[in-house]
Amino acid sequence: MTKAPLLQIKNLTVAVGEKLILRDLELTINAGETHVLMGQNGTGKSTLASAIMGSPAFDIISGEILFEGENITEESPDKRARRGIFLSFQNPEEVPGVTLENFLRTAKGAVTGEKPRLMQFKKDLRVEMERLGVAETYAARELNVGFSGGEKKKAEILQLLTLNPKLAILDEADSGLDVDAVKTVSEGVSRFRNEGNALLIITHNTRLVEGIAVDRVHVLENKKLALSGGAELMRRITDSGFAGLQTNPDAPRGAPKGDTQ
Amino acid sequence: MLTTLKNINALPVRTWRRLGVNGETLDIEFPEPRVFPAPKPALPEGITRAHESVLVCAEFKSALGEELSAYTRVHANAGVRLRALKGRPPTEPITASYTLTAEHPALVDNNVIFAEAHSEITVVLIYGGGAGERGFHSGLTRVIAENCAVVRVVQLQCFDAGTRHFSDFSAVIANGARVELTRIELGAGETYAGCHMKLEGDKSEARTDTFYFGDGTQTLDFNYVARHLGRATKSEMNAAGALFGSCGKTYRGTIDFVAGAGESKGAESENTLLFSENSRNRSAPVILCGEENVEGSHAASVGRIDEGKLYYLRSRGLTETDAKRLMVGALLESAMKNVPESERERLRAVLGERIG
Ligand SMILES: Nc1ncnc2c1ncn2[C@@H]1O[C@H](COP(=O)(O)OP(=O)(O)OP(=O)(O)O)[C@@H](O)[C@H]1O
Ligand SMILES: [Mg+2]
Repeated sequence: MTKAPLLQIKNLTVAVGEKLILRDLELTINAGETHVLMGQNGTGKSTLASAIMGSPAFDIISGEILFEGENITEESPDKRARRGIFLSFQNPEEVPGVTLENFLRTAKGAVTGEKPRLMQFKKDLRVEMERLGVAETYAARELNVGFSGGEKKKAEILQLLTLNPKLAILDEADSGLDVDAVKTVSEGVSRFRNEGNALLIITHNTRLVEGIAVDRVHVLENKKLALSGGAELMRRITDSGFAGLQTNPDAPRGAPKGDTQ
Repeated sequence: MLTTLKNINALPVRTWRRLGVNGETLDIEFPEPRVFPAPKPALPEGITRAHESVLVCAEFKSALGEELSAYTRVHANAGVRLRALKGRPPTEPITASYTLTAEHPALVDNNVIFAEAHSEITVVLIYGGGAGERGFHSGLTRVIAENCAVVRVVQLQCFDAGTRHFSDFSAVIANGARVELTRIELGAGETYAGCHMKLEGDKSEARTDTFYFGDGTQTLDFNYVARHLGRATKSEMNAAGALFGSCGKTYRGTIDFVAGAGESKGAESENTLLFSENSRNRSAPVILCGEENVEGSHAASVGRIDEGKLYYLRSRGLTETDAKRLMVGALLESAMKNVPESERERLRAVLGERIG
């Protein structure tokens, strides 16, 4: 029996209010793969991430989202998280009153079904915070409240590493980070990645994925993945922009890796 | 008999009427309560029963309202009278617990705490139960803290939704003494709570920690006053709570520095989470300076918990209920410093159920 893909999106059409943002979008991600999603501002990359996570702000007009072969299109975000889907938000929310540490421990308990023991959890968290260059004092700070843009992004990666999901979607995890921080975050993402899990990285530049083996690159345009290819596509886009690309809206899905033509 | 009471929880200094925070006018049907069945708490060494007459040497102010205070004194059907003896080491908290029932729907408790110099006493008052619309509580706690005494009063209120609940607290604090009031308001349909801390002695201190939870059509109305008279006095008033449904909350916090209260400090903070567009949240922080050399501060934060924040928390595996419990629970924790360990778990559970 062949295993179902980790994530399979079929004919997905998404709207916000009256506005259609994605139309008949198709995407398949297998365990062990790293995909990069690029596209101009406002093309719908975050919308796709939100649709996969189950944001109530968007309406799924038609299509299906399957996770490990199961239809999750109608599922609540918390159920999806417990299945092993994680989204690093482009704009993480500030949550007053709840400390980063308490939140992480509660979330870990929610996704694993068992609240981690306090002392061990504190220890593990300290280790990961140090690796990410997040000062220890942030554990006791209110979640994202007053965090700088870069600090919020690091806190998202800290969450990723703590929750250890099967599929991690990183929505511009590198934006607003200084050069050193991009490297630290990139290393964090590498630590997360293994043969059993997968990444969907939304980014506007290649710095974050340097040092991470990229399997597929997709370009979102005209409400769908207009072009898919191997890692070299990313370089072409960063060198000469989206304008020079020959996009083919009917490009076959699941084409062999490295095939760009 | 139906009585109309004016100036319930009145601000010490009136402000623009349109803000609607000057005070409330209420029609109250005062019950003629029978003796309330409540076991008298056992007294540890160093604590004896006090007579109400010990209070004559001090002049108390009521933040809730003098008329209500008078009613409670005259019609009391319960209450503790405690005297902490001079220089004795601190004891275990003294706890009194009251449960409203259909048979005893009205509780009027008049509590007296007299702490002699260098004594320390903690009193925990637990309120629960209900009797539908007939549920009624009016409580008054008056405290005298003599030189260098420490008094902690903890009031834990989990009345049923129909209950009308009045709670008044007034303390007179001498040189170097400290009084702390903790109020956890988790129930009742209407809550009117006042607190007046009179910092009479030099270097006297007062602190309040208040937590409130409102939902449905509940009313929550608070009036807290710290009146600084002595030199180098210190007050801290913290309030935190969450509002759901179409409830209404008014919180008044006044720091009053009277001439002669030089080098005194007062700080008040309020932290509110709004889970509903329909709830009404009013705050009136007031700092009165009759003295130049003082420091007064207030900090208010109002967090609107919208779908976006809930979605963020849900994307980490928390159900909507989990997420709300986490956020509101954090506020409850911040107010429980003086709550005995043995009561905390129960309060967390009551709150969790109210949110669920
Ligand atoms: N809640 C909303 N209400 C109205 N329009 C929305 C909403 N959310 C997204 N949109 C619109 O949908 C389109 C796609 O937005 P989205 O955030 O997915 O773009 P993006 O590709 O992530 O862009 P960027 O690279 O700037 O992050 C935009 O035109 C945006 O204005
Ligand atoms: Mg985006």
